[in-house]
Amino acid sequence: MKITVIKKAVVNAKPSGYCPVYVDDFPATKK
Amino acid sequence: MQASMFNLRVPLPERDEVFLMNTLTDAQLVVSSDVASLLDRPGSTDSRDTGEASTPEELAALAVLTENGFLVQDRAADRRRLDDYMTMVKTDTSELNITLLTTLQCNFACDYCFQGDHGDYNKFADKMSAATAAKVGEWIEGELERLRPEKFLLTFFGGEPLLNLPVMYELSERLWRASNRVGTPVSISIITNGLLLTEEVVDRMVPFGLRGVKITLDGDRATHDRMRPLRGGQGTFDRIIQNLRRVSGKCGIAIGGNFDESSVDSYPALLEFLREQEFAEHLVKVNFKPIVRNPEPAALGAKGILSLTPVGADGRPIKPLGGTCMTSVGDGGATACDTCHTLDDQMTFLRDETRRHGFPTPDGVHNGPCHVHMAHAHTIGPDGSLYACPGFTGEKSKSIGHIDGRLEQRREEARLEFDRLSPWTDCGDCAYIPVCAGGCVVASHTTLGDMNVPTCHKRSFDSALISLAYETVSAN
Repeated sequence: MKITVIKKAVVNAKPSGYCPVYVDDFPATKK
Repeated sequence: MQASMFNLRVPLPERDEVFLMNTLTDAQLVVSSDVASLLDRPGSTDSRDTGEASTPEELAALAVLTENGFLVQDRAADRRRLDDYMTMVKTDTSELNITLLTTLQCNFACDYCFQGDHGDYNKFADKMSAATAAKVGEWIEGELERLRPEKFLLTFFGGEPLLNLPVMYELSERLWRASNRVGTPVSISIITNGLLLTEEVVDRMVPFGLRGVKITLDGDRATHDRMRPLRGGQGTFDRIIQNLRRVSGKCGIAIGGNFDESSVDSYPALLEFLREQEFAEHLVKVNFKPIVRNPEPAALGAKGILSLTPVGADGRPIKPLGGTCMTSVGDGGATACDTCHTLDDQMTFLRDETRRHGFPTPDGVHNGPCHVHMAHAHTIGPDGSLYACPGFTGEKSKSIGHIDGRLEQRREEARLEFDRLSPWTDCGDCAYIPVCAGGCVVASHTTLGDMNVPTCHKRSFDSALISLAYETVSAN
């Protein structure tokens, strides 16, 4: 029974980016 | 209790472990296989449901899984949490995002874009006037006063935004003063092809909040010059690199690139080239994306041009992007598009190559929901029209308002249409909904004719998740 927590749950996690798939964007917001 | 529908698992057999991620809580764990199997036990945290007695060790593991959202009361609870999350994204007032198109004109004649400096396009493409810019400034100031957000993100976009420097300078200075008045820091970025990105431009913008520029390189020198030439066919790679050398260190630089099957093989050479540059350490993001062709090659227009939107038999676009520089809006793999699948696989290859060369790049899992689902993210076209997303700026019928407050039935109808958007409701129990929200609405509109129908790149998400899992494990 081994658990390594890489990242804990975030309440109200925000989207990480603008449109990383289609629009050419500059990184603005980090999740 | 039961496993959340937003759980994702990547088995790591060589370690007898499993990488777990929950897309709604963004929790990430690496667990032994026996812990992962607890998620499959019905009534996991209550031994009365299973008739099995949980050991203290199992109960401790179950508690961690529950705390991080991997175990939930029932499916209805998951659905409620998803609804709450989408509402939060939509109504969040902590950020005001403005994407401002100074012009739809462009000085490039990209091989894959029928807009730009082809024919007489630039002669008729919209360009924001000083008078309109003044009204736009007033409208944005009003939004800053009304929302008092924690962050104000302003992106200049086009067309090629540097073809209208007076408007960019005027609005940057005005909005920097306005953001100071309300106590909200402004962060400006420019999405440009890089040809006109001089030190003078950057030096002028930095004091007013310029944080970074994003430029596009479509492969190594020869490939880029083929894909992104000037109207007369001259290459643009050397000039862009020269500009990057001169502005590096003054602001952040992000590199993008648009690849298709003919150009993808040249990207490793581009990455090698970038690694050797002195500005390599200043690159804050390197991200390559596929040019997705539409699946009806017989209907394409001019020979040799990969259309980004469907075109009719006469070669004219059915639903044009109108000059907005969006490089790929085809639909995804949901309809078993082999081309898309190939491009998804190539995107995975390029993401791994980008990491291998030591550049930061998006993990491909943490994506949306994008601005189209946010009430306080606005795109403003050159004439002051408001849009939910830059992809619709060429289609006046999709304008959802105007900065002068005019009331028009067509804009109101469009506003309501966007307000009701929820394509993810057709995605079933897909675990990627919180980071995808049904895919690109522009792609749904242009290729499927309905914004509320999801476009799916699940295959791309899956491969990105595997890369994320192995990268995470190697870093821990």
